[in-house]
Amino acid sequence: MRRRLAVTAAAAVAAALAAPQAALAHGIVGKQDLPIPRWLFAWAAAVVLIASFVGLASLWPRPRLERVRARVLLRSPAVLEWLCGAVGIAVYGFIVYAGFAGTQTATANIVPTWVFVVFWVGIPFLSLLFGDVFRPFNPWRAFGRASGWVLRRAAGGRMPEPIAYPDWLGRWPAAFGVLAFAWVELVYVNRDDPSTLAVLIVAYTVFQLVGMSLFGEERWTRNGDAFAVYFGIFARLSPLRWADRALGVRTPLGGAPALEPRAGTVALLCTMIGTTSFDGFSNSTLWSGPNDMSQHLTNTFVKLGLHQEAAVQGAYTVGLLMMVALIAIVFWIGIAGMRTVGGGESAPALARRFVHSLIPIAAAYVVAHYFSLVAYQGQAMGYLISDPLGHGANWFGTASATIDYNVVSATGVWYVQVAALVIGHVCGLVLAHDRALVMWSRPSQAMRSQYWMLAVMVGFTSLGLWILSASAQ
Amino acid sequence: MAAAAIVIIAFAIARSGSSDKVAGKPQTIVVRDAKPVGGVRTLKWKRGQMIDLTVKSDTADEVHFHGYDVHKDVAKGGTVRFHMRATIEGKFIVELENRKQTLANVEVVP
Repeated sequence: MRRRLAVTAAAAVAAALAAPQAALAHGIVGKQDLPIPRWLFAWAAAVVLIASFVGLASLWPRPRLERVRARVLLRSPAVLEWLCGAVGIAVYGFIVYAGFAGTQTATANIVPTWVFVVFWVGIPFLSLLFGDVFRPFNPWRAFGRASGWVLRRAAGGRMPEPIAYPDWLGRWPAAFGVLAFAWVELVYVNRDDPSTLAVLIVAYTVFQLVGMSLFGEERWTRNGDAFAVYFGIFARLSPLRWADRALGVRTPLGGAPALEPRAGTVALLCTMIGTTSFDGFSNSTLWSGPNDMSQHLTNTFVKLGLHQEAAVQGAYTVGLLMMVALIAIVFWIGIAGMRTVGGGESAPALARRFVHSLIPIAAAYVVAHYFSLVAYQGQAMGYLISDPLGHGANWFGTASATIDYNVVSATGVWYVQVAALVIGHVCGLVLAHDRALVMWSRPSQAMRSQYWMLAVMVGFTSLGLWILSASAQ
Repeated sequence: MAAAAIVIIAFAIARSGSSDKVAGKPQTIVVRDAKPVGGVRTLKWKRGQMIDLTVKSDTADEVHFHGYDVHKDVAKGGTVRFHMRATIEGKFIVELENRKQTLANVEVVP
């Protein structure tokens, strides 16, 4: 009996040791980034520090970004909105169909690449440049509006009024939605399985339809549609603004100060930064090398009676949550420090006042971590659109296209990563400085409050650089 | 003054980094019970060098060199050799494809 136990224990340990980091990297990705070398890390950190001090000394004395208005360039007809909505629903329908009907090999089916590369990473990149491009195509919103229109017609105007959206709920559903997506992307072992993804998409749709029917399409989409909120937040940094069927231009970053600090917004931004950090961190040897953190956590879960796969997922879940908590703690330390400058605001109120300055940091993390994914894996769309189900079709004659990994060199990727983090850092400082000028009447007080914000930003940027660097890997 | 100090420190850190060891020579991975003996190692080549990697396996499977996307079937007790120029920079895994077991990480550095 004892011998059998020993054998079982040895097998468990062997299985645990065998659980490789690669099993938890995306099956769809053929190439990972090289860590940035130490010399680049050192120089980038130096540039960040110097830019911060120079910035603090030379920034403007009156707020400039608080009341940015967009200048309307052109207006679009209502029919275009319906058309975009229809395109959104058609693409959505096709992706769900492909998930169920297509091959279940992750690399040959369009669904994993569509969900994790085009949708989750590609749209934020587009939003940063061109504004909220997702909104008109949002299939859930389009579906909600269309079904609402039909129901109102059928009921002859006797539709019940939507329930008032509770203030305390705010953006919390979006924060949990982003966390849940990140869990699927970074923790869940079946994440690359096309039919599983299709099931999850349908489940999310049901959740959205219930939310919209309770609170109204617009109110729910702005708070509870995790993707609409996530993409919309990045769009605030863009110089283009789409609203009320009109396209306007504004100062870059100008949309960020107008972010209404509803409940859950701080949690949302910390989740955005924390989950992206964990994506990088989980590739480091500190987390997934031999005899590392994930291994210890996995062994703990195995001892608690979980089987191997569940234990690995448990360990990664803990890691993901710890990273989000770490980001939240650093931000709160900065806020607590800022309170000591005076002004009489409570810590939560101050946190909400400054949360928009985290948007450029979140954007920088996304660009730094996912630029190469878009540049390389994005090319997979070339063959996937010709054969989306993986059944050997060749609709556009591109089914035999391959990924050119030399389209950007490793050095090119490093420079993009470092540039993204440095620019994001400076933009975050600019937004925080502008807000401080509104909050504190004396410039010297505003300045002192910003030493705290500066420390937070330097902390986040250094963490970002470290995760990408050779010292972490 | 502070800026100058930062630059000096950065310069010191940048110089202190010992250059990473680049293998550049033939490497062999022995697979026993479908696992690499000695654990998953990281093997480095410089771009332009010849990658020369041999896998000796006691398990029949397919060996997949990701990124370069070369697949080779290996018989039980057999040997396969990857011999090609390092043309793509990056970090790649070499995997026992059907068992999803990583055999080595290959880094091709600029």
